[in-house]
Amino acid sequence: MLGTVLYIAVCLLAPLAWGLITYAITRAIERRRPPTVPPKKPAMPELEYYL
Amino acid sequence: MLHIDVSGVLVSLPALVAVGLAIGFVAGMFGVGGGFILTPLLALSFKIPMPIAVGSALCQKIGTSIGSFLKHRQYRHGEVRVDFVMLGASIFGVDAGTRLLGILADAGTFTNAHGRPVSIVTLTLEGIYAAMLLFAASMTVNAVRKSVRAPASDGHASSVAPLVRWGVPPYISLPEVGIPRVSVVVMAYIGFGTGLLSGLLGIGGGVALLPVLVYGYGFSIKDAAGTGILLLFVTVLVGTFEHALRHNVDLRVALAILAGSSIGSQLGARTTARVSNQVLRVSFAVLLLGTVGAIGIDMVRSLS
Repeated sequence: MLGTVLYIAVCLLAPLAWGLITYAITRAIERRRPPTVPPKKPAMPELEYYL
Repeated sequence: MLHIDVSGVLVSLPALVAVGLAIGFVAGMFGVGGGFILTPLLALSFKIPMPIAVGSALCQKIGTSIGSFLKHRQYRHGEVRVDFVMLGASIFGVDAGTRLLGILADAGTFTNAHGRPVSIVTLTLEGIYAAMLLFAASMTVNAVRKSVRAPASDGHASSVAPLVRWGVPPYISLPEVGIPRVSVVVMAYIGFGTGLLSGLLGIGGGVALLPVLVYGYGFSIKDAAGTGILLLFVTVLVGTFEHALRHNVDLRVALAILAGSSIGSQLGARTTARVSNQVLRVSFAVLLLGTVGAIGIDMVRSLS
């Protein structure tokens, strides 16, 4: 029982922590070195973030 | 040492990281989630059982969707009331989808004309994926032909869109997108459907939600993209919980893919700046049709 609870907790928290860390790193890099190329309009806004 | 045992199937860890890299590259390059290719790829290339592929794909999606969620919170596009109305029903939908997947997995196999066993769950999910990817490919091809236009040019929704006219009480208003009255019941059923797809297929569910918001409710693309983010993030969390409860999540698979996709998405985003939108759209349609072709070949092989 305790094993299952721990397994579920790790399944939820490990990818969340990974995502937060990569988000923080990306933000920090963008702050230090803003992109030199101007942001481009999304190629497929109708599909963006969704598929 | 570099191979892991996933429900009796030996899977190479570096190959999983490479798949994550490729999926992340596609996601970063085309500005999409990439999950719609991941589950079929895990099942087709690595022969990972469908329930494990679905559960692990959902688990890694927590890591990728938290970034989208935080990013979209800054812009505050869309109508958060839609997310809240759909959220409750979506949780039941995820549960139903996960149970349905379990029923399909328990249905076992049938024998084809040559007496070989064919997995019912794999065949069914491949069929659903092929249909969904064909739909997405047709949307992209339409966009290439420039026949897809945002329904409302002023950035607000149209009050004469088909689902807005459905009169099933009670109603709420959506002031952020300019809709005076929509049925809560209809919206809740849409949330249920989104959750069902997520639990069954291991995707965020946005592939179904976005066309509904844009074509059904007349949302602008910008508002539609900002509207489902909270819903999709919670759906993925609940889906992972449900699948973990049934031991369908292989953490090693999920984290290996997540590691690759974190790097791949950055590379993909950099490549996008150097390629024209038209080339991107055509490449995306080719990628979708290629995936449908691979799924189709596998289905024909298993049936013949």
